[in-house]
Amino acid sequence: MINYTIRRFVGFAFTLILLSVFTFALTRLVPGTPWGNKAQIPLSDEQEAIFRARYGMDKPVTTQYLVWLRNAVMFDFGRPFTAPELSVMQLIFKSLPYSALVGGLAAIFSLMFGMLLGAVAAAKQNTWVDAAITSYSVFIGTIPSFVMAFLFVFIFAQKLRWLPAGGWGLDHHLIMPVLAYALPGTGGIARWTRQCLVEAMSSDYVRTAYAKGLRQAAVVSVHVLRNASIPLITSFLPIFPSMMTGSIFIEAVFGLPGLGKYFAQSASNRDYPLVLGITMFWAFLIMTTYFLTDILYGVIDPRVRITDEK
Amino acid sequence: MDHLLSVKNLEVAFFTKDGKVSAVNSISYTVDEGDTLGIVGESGCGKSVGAMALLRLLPTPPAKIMGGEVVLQGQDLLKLPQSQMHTIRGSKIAMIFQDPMTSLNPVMTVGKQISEAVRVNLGLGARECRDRTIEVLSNVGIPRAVDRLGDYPHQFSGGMRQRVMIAMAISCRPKLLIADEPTTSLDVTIQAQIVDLVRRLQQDLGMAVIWITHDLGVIARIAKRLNVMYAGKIIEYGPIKSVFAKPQHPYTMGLLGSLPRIDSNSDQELQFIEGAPPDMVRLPKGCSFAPRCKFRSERCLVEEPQLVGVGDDHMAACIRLPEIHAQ
Amino acid sequence: MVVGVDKLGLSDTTENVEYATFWAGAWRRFRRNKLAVYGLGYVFAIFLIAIFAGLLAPYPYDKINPRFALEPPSLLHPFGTDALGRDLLSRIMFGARPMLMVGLLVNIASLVIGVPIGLVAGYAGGVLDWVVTRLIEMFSALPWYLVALFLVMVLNPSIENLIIALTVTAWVGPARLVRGMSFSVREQDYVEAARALGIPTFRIVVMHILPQIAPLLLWSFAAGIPASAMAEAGMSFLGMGVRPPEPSWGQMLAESGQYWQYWPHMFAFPAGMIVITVLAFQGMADGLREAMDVNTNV
Repeated sequence: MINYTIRRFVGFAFTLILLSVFTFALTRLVPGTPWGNKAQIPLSDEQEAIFRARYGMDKPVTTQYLVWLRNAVMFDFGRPFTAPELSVMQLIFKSLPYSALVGGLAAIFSLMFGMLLGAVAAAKQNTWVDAAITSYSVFIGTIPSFVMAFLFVFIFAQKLRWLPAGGWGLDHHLIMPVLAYALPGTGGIARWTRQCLVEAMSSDYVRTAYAKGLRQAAVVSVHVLRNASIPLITSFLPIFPSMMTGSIFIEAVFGLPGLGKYFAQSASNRDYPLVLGITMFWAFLIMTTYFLTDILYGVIDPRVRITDEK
Repeated sequence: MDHLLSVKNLEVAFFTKDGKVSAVNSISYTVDEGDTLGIVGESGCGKSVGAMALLRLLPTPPAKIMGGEVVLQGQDLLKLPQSQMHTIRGSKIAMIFQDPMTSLNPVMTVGKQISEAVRVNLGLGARECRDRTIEVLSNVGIPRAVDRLGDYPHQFSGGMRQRVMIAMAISCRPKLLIADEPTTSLDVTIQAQIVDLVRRLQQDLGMAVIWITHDLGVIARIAKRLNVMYAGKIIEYGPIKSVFAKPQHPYTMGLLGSLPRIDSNSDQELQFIEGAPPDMVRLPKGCSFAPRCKFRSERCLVEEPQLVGVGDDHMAACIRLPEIHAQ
Repeated sequence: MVVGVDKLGLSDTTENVEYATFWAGAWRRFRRNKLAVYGLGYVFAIFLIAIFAGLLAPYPYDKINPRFALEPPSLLHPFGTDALGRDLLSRIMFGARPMLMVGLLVNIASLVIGVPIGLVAGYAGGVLDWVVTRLIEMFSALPWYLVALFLVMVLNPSIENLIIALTVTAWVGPARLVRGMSFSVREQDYVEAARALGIPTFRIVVMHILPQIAPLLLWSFAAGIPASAMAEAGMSFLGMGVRPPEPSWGQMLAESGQYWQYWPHMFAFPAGMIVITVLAFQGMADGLREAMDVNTNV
């Protein structure tokens, strides 16, 4: 187990380094300077020189990389153009709780609803229930979350006037964003759940379990669910960070105080530090989750950890 | 005389997208206590399906038991509701399967899997289950059984895994063990070990065995009586010595004739049976073997042959027996 | 009396086995799936519409006509008009182009880049494979929309730049699949036999491994299209896609932002087209997967 963890960690570290190089390379792609002729406030040559020195852009590339890396490790990604009074990290942390809340709730809902559907489909395999759930799964995934968001606002806010069209509050304001964000994902989750369950149910060891004299309830709980949960858990854990970091479209539509607001603006303002900072931070979060999931996988699936030791 | 198991006119069909497949077409046989019955046939002839039907292990959307009787010690198993079958499985009739790697739960320790069977069928407590598990594992020849209780199936070799499966099957001392091609995926030398193991256990426990295989060499080693199946029917059966020495049905003759023999000349060609097994959705009229039979006549394509006696408890289903064996 | 084969006309009693090729069988299975077939038909139609939009559209997509602004569907304008009086139907027709172009080209480029990398990694193994896997891991962790947004910001919004930006993260999908599959195919006996015969590696890869993974690749391509199409819609929604006045459904959705509450047709048609088109591609991809019976969890 230790061996396995160490090997995974080395891989993780290497990937992080790759990430840093890639992100740094992206920073170098920024054409000209962010304060050139096209900027809102044109600068004189001396002012530009001062800025250049200040941002360390007058040193060789490798030095710049190391400086950038040192900052990145401390999570210092500079200041966003859109809100220069804060640093990128401060901005992220200010808006992260909202994104995390919406994303987290959506992930929970998505998983619970999706797994329920998948389980029902697996239990009622090859009946009309199964077919209906499969059709729903295929269909729901094709609606982009922002389209879903629009639809929700149209139906529930405008026509029915049940819910507010935007704004933030830890109450019914959350219902539409969370649902609109969660629903498209339920399709894929339902299908994968169904698939894992069906695979376990039709396996030889389940046949053996019945042949041993176990009753259906015991076979399902001890053999089917236990075995199916391994691929399920390991593929569903990453959904949390990915949804917590991806709620940007939804926030833009509903005007939530998460990063979405800045995200939409950063597009037109060419806010490179902000976009890069978010990218690096999000990627780091997601990679860490993958790493932890790998470790977890090693814990719950004996095949993985025991072959490593012998 | 009461048989341990009496199967009468068992019929199993599969309802698939391509049509109805009559996998088992009215077969009948008996097994006595301590007896060993071999069932041989090509892949797809219905031997596995017939066996799984005894324990109702077939998935019942596509499969359906269309009729017949399966009487175990006076009780017709087919009349038992599915929810009651667990009282028979494991305790009265046990079954082992072909591939021990996939037939054992990969994420559960071997000790736990066997203890599970003991607990469910015999209702013993945790300590007694563990003791019994160690006992059966040693009995089947797993060295240092105590240490291996916490091991997972992938930590055993193929032959050992099959021993584990056998241990699990006999842990509750069933009266009948059904072995569905247990040695097919094993090395020849391991095959012999497993066959001998089952024979010994059979003697020690007074257990009857139904051994299913397509390997005639293996069946010769263990079976006392033999059923030969083709296209869902039993086309010949009898004491194994009699069937091997004097095969009656052209198919059986073909099977035995195709075996390379140690005492044959090296330049003798191997005989084989022409043609391919029939499409089970569209079985030909008359004798299902006729299209491939070198003794067929026009009547064979129309009339379905019934089993006729040819010797001491030895029967074959062919209408041309007298002509074929006129010597 | 034993009769010979021909005299009995036995070929009627023994079933003739159909030796269909893999693709013929796959096509038959595909045809059985209604959604897949309708999907295919729709895709065919939408491609035709996009290609011949110039001929089919009743009005040019950029013809501004303030007198007829914000009109609901009518005989003159079957889909209504937008805020500048442009005919929505024509804009919808032309709007298919960016989505289809992005969908096709991003996936083709992903295959071109991803397949060789995946093949090399899977077949060669060792350190090379390890590094490529790390690379794939890294790219998988990157939020595609952020990278795409950044690249388009840097390169200025246009269809070509969007395609490049999306490909940068999309190549990972095929690469991962191909790597997994070539890993398992490499272990097969016939590959070992080929190696033992001294067949050069390149030939082995092209003649033995590629045909085995071809169905998976085809599915990967088909399944990637709806994803890229949605990405295009999302990016255009943010203004990072085609430059106006060229229409794109995502962009039209954004344009409808102020007006849709009173003029829902401005939202309904682009949204509907996005959903139906993505659904059609998705249905096709699913149908392909079932028809070819590929295992997509490699």
